[in-house]
Amino acid sequence: MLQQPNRRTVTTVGLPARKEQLIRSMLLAVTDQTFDAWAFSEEIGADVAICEVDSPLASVTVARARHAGRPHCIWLAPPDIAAPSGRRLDDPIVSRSLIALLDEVSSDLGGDVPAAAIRAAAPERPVDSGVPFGSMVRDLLAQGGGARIVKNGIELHLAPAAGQIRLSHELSSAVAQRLLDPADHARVEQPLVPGALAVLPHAARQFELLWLLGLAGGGDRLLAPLTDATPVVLKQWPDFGRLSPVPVHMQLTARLVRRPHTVDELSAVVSASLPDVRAFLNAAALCGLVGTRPTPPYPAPDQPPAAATAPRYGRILRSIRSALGLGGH
Amino acid sequence: MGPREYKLIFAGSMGAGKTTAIGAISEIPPVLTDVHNTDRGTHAKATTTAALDYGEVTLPGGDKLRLYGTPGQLRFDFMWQILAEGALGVVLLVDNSRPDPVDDLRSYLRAFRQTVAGSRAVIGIGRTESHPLPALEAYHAVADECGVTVPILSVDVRRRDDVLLLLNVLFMQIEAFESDLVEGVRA
Repeated sequence: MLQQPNRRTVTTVGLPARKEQLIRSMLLAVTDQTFDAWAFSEEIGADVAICEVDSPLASVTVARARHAGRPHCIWLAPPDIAAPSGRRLDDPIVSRSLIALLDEVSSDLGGDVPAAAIRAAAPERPVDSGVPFGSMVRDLLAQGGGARIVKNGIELHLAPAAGQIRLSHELSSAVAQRLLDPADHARVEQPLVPGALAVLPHAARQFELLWLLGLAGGGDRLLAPLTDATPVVLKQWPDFGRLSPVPVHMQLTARLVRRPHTVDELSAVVSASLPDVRAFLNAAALCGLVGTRPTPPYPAPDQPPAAATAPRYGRILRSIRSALGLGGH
Repeated sequence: MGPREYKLIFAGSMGAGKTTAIGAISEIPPVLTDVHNTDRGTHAKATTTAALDYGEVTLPGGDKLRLYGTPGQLRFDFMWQILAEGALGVVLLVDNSRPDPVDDLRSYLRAFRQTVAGSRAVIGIGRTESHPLPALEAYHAVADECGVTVPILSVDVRRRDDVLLLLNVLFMQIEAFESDLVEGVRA
C-alpha cells in the first residue's frame, strides 16, 4: 500500500532572483518524482532552506534553525567552492541532485520510509499510466537545456531555450500514446547536438506536447501532489485555439478558473467521468496551469446581475448553439 | 410574445478581423460600412469600418442573434460600451502583428471592463502564426493587471471553426458564471 505524499516546503536564502526562479520551476517539475510533495514557500519556516553559500543571511538562518529545528539548511555552491558542513547542492543545479537531496530530507523528516526504499519500491507504483514520461519531458523543458529523446520509434528534440520542439512524426494523440507506451523505455541524450533541431520534420509547441501527453496518460490517478480530494483551480485558460478541445474540457475550464473544485465535484457539475476529469487535470498540470489556491476573484460588475434563481441564459444559449451547429452540451 | 433579439459584439483593433468573423457565421451577407482608411499611419488596411458592421443568425422560433462589429479606432471608444449594453457578450479580437497589440488589449479590457468582469468576454489573438510574439503569456499578464481572468485563444477568424470556438468558450463562461450565481457563490 503506497503512502500519500507528505506536503513539504522549500524556501531560499540569499539567492539571486534568477536562481530562485529556477528552483521554483524545478520544484514544479520534479514534485511527482520525489517521495514527498514539495512546493516553494516564501516563509523562512519552510522545511528546507536552500542557502547561497556567500550570503550573510544564510548564517542567520542556520543559527535560527539550530534553535527552531527548522528549516533544514542546504548550501548551494559551485562544485569547486567549499561550503560549511552539512548538506550541499551543486550549482548549477540538476534535477536528479535536487530530487535525491529532497528525498534525503524527506527521510530525515518522515523517518520511517527511507528514500532508497521508496526508489526500490518504485515499480509497485502505478507508473504504467504513462504520466511519468510526461513529467520527465516537462522536467527537461523546465531545466531549459536541450535534449534528444527516442522512444517507441519516435524521435523528439527539445529546445526549450529556442521555444521549439521537433518530432519525427506529426504530433497527435496517437503519437502521444506511443510515447507513453510503458513497454518501451525512453532513451534520453543531453545536451542536444547543435543543428539537430533542423533534422526532424515536424514542429510542435511545448504546451501542445505536454497537453497531449497529459491526456493520453489516462485518468487512473492524478499527478502528485494533486489528489482526488484536493480542490484545485486553473490559473488561466489553456490556449484552446491550438489544442483541438472537446467541449467537456472547456466546461471544466470555465468552472475551474472561477473557483476550486475537487475531482468528484467537477465530475458531477459537468457530467464527465472521473478518469476524464483526471486526464484533463493531468494535462493542465503538465502545462503548469493547475493551482491549489483560489485565483483572484472575478471582480463583480458595478451593477451585478440580480441574484438569479434559475438560469437566464441556458435556453438562449442552447438555441444559439443549435442554430450555429455548435456542440456544447 | 414576439420574436426576441440578442446581440453579440465583435470589437478589436483595426484589421483584427471583426468584419471577417461576422461574415464567417452570419447567415446574411454582412452589411458593411467600410470606407477608405484615412488612418494609414495606424494600419495599412485600405478600408476600415467607419460605423458598424452587421450580420445576423435566425434562431429556432424566429428569434434573432444580431452580430455587431464596432469601429476599431480608439477615437470611437465612446461607442463601444454603448454597443455592449444589453449584449450577450463581447468577442475581443487582437491583431498580433500590430506595433503594440498588448496595449491594444489593455485599452479594450478597460473599455469593456464591466462586460469582462461579468464573464461575458472572450479574446481571440490573430496572426500568431506569422507573428508569434508577443506570446499569449503577455496578454494573460495584462488581464492579471486588470484583475480579470479571461479566456485568450490563438485564432484565425477566417476559419469558421475558430469563430465558433470563441463563441463556445464565451457561452461556457456565461453558463459557469450564471451557475455560480444560481448556487449563491460569489467567486
